[in-house]
Amino acid sequence: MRINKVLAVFKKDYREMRRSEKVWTILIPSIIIVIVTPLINLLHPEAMTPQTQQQIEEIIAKPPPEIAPEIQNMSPEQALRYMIAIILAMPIFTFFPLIVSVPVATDSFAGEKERKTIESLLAAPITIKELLLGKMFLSFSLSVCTTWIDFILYTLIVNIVNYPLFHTVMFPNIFMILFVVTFVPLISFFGVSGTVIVSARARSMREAQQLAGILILALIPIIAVPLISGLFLSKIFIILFSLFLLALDIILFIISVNVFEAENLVIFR
Amino acid sequence: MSAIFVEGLTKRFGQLTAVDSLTFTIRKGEVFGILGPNGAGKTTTVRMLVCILKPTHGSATIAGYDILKEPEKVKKIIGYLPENPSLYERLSAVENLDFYAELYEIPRNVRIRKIKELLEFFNLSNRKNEKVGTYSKGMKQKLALARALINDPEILFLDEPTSGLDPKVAKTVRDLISKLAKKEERTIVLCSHNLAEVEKLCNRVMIINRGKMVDIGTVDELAKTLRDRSRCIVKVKLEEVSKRIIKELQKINYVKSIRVSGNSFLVELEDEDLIPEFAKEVTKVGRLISLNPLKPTLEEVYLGLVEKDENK
Repeated sequence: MRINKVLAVFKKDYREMRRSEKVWTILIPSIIIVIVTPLINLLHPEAMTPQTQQQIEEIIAKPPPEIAPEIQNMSPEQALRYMIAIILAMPIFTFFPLIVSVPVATDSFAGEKERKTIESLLAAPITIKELLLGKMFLSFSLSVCTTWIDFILYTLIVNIVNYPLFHTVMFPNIFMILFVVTFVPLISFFGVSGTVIVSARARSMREAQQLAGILILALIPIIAVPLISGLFLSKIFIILFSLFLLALDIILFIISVNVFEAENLVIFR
Repeated sequence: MSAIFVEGLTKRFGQLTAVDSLTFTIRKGEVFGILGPNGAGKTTTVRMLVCILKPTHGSATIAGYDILKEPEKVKKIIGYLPENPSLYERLSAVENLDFYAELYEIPRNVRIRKIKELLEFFNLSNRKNEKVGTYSKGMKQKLALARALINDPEILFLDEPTSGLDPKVAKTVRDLISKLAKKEERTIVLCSHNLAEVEKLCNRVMIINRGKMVDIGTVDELAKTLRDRSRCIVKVKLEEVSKRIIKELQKINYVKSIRVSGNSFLVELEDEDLIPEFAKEVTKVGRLISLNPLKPTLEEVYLGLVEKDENK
């Protein structure tokens, strides 16, 4: 494995991506969502759906043992705002890594195939694994960095909006930090590996995006159930779920390395 | 010394045999043409030789390196221009070349000089920092050629190198190919549908059809094969052509036909070996100025051989 070649692919893809309008249509809305969502929901809790309101009220009434000490000294309004900030952040920062990584990875893999640039690349002195890693590295790092930057923005907005009520920094807590540090890279990697697998076989970028979309849909129930049931408010659950995702990532990575073959990239079956 | 040695090269895609047991060698410094109709297996053959596709059977060595065991070494010493320019359109010409130069691990100072030289040679310097997407088809083709030369390859695989180029640039490219082969002893494998170009540039030509080799040799050798199997035409020029002379010549039993045009005529003979004897007969009936066997063009040879193969 020659890291200079991996970096050359990374650098080339980064230059290409920077000049692609498509990437900005993904990144800019993600930033807007991060800014607008807490503003609306924290300033106007009544704007939330009745189900979410009910869920938050239930958690406040019967807080998980690890949250209880944090909210026991808060006023009801503080507890409500605090829980809203956490409950909103979880789905946002669970699905953002997928929303960013999948289109970027699709453009990088299936796009190269569709634009017919792959052929001379495959005839150049770079191994398939180096090429694969260079490409995965870009999609992965972009997804993780964007989501972390979004998280920092979200944290700033939440604290600014809530400062008059808390007079201190109230967000993030240890769960959220653990959640973002472990989950975001694992989910990003899942999105990138999954996209590699479908892109290697897809005939076009559109087909790859559709197949990757199906892959995301398959992941939604796995993540949504613990999110809705509040299981993510437990450190143990976050660690166990991270290990599960890690195992899933390793399996997907092994599959993606094996399906990413020169022949699959130049021959449409 | 053979630069490329191919033995029993076969590629199957499921039930389809795209390339079937090709065996040939290409000498160092040779310009070798691969001709064949669309879908004949030219691109698949080249893709195997540049280590993009793995052969189902058979083997090949490029400058002594095995395409299956040492693909990395093969890739280092070759340059490849695919049918499609295969360029990154969001990047500039410099960025495209720089990326490939990095993959070939060319030191930075050499890389900068080499890119400058290539862009100047192909007359792309004035737009070197513009996105390739804004280039014309000819400019893209020139840049793709520059990319194929970035590593000073020993062996070049060129698929339709002058496609989309204006006549002046096409000539520059042809001159470059000749120079690379003659002066620098680079080996060049050329796939082209431009038969005049192949005839002009190639030392030897291989014709393939339906994945199989139809024939291989110099253009003259291929023409001879075709002549042996079909007809031989000579162009005869006399001081004066009369009906009597034509009638006399038509009486010769191996003369198949005569077509008169001014003071010269085309005679179809049964065999090439009969030309000297026919020349003697002509001098008996008239004052001979010249008698030349008509050499078929590569196009005639190609079409003749492919047609013959199709009729098998």
